[in-house]
Amino acid sequence: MSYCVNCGVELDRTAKRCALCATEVVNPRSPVDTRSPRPFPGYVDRLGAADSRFSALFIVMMWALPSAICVAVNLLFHSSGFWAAYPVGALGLVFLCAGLPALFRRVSVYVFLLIGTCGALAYLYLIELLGPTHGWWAAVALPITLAASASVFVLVALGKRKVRPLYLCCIGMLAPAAVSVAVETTCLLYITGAVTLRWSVIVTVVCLSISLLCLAIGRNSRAMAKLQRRMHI
Amino acid sequence: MKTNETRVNAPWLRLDNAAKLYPAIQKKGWSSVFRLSARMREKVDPSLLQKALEQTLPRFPGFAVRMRRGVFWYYLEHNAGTPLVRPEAANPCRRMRWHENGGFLFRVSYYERRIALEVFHALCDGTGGMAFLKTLLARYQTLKGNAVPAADGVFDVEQAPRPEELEDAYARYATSSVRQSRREPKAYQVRGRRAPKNMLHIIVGELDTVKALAAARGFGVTLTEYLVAVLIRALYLQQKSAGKRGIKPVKVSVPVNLRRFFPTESVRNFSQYVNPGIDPNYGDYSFEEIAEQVHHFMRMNVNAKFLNARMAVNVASERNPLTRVMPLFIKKAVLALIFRRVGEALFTSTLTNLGAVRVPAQLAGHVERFEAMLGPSYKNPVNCAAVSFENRLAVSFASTICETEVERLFFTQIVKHGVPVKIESNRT
Repeated sequence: MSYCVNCGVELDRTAKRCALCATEVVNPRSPVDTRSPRPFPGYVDRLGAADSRFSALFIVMMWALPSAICVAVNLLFHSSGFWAAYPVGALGLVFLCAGLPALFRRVSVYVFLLIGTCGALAYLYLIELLGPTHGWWAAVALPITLAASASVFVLVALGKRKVRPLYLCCIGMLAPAAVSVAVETTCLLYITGAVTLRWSVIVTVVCLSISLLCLAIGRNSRAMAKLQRRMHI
Repeated sequence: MKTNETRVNAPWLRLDNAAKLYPAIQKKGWSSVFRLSARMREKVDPSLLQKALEQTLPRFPGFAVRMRRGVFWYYLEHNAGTPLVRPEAANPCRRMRWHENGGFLFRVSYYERRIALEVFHALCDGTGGMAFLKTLLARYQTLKGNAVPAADGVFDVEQAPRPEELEDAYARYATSSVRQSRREPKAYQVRGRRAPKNMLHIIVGELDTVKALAAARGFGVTLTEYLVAVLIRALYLQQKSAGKRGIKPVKVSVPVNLRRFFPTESVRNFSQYVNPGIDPNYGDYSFEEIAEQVHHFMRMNVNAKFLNARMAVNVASERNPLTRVMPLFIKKAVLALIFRRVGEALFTSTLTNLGAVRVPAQLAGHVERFEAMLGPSYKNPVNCAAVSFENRLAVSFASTICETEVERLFFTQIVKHGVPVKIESNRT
């Protein structure tokens, strides 16, 4: 049997480290027993996802019922113009973004992001079709939506690579900066034809400052440890 | 399949006073589940264990239930299904989802030589859980060919259950006209890096009971008071090393088995919590001073009159007409909010000592030790449970944080008092 030289406690013969202080077990007279079963099993039981089917059904009902009511009211009482397309389209977009992931849990998140992006573009196109003005979808909506979606794609990809939260925050703050520049540039080009960035510069400066602060804290392990303790949820 | 008529006629139970809280506060990070286990001298046979469970369950109708949602309160309804034993997982005391596990609110699992019983606290407290576990073990050994009599807390499975065992003892004994206030100063909360999702870090320390008792007597306190004092000291030192501004009191919640003061055969919940502790703002405390504080606190507060007054407050809240007519979804949200903000904020950790477990001699030879464990809670990431059997005292820490400072300070203090400790853990 082995004892921890730091804590003075006797250790289980299968222990490679002391559980109290993580001191490694090095005992030539009694090497770590790697063949006997450990005191606790290694299998971790995850809580099942049984609830999501009910949530998914609930979401489908939340989309279908109001949509049906809007369409019925539009057709029966307000036959001029198909205004029901707006709420139905909006609810459809919500369903694509929230309902589908709940219904099909094993599909990759990137597929849902792509579906969400296409859904958003389709909804904006529908608004342009039904609205009085035309031509803004290709000039404004398309680039802004693609810029926003690209930012989300990058953030999700970083999140999946298990980047440290502060570094994720650091890069994540660049996303609103990029999107704000894209929005102002696109709008200015469409409206005036000239690009003179104003408010997006302020947003970019603020986001860059926060990003640099996160990077600075992330590289300082002492500050990180203190922040983790204080910001513990 | 049961018809609606059969379901309406199925026997049902109201939740006892303590149990009414648990369905409201249970969530992913707070399971309200505790675990009792026994390490046998031989490897567990799952098929025999399953048979033993099927034979034991009818003797405990309070366990053969499922949770149902009423308009004003949750209640328990008879569950005619068959629970299945399962292999133990590395993360015990997981939350009980009411539609899983056949609707049962307990789990029986096995791993190598260990048989574990995890129970949702709405069903019973440690005493009730231990009665079930002992009976299950007795039945298991009987099926193995070693007959165990119904004595020393082992129930006779051939006997019909008695109504006294399902009594809500709170309702019977909460007769005090004094409504003791529940207000206390808020306590220090341990913080740390969260353990991976769904994971509960366990450290079990095995102590020599005789030596631990001798150490306790050396300080002039009982074993429970000694363990509480050691835990308070560990938390106190951990707060000091955390270096935060604003030192807060360090208190440990200790459940008291009310059956010592108010006789009842109920196997449901019947315990009350007291919160001994120290306030480091008064100055530095030595271990002897902490032990003395705990000792006098327990002497002062753990008596029939004071406990009755504390019980009466809770029962009065339950019986308040406004509380009774409030719809369940509002009650649940309010209870959860109050408990999360106030309930656990009043103490730093919990230590439950189930005491010395006695079993018939025919069973004792087949059991190596008993263990107890508390599930994860919302604000207190480190909780402790102790139980002794013959000369082995098992003190189990269950933690939802990665740091082990509290456990290390606890066990190293005990080692310094001359009590050898052997550690087992699921931390890899």
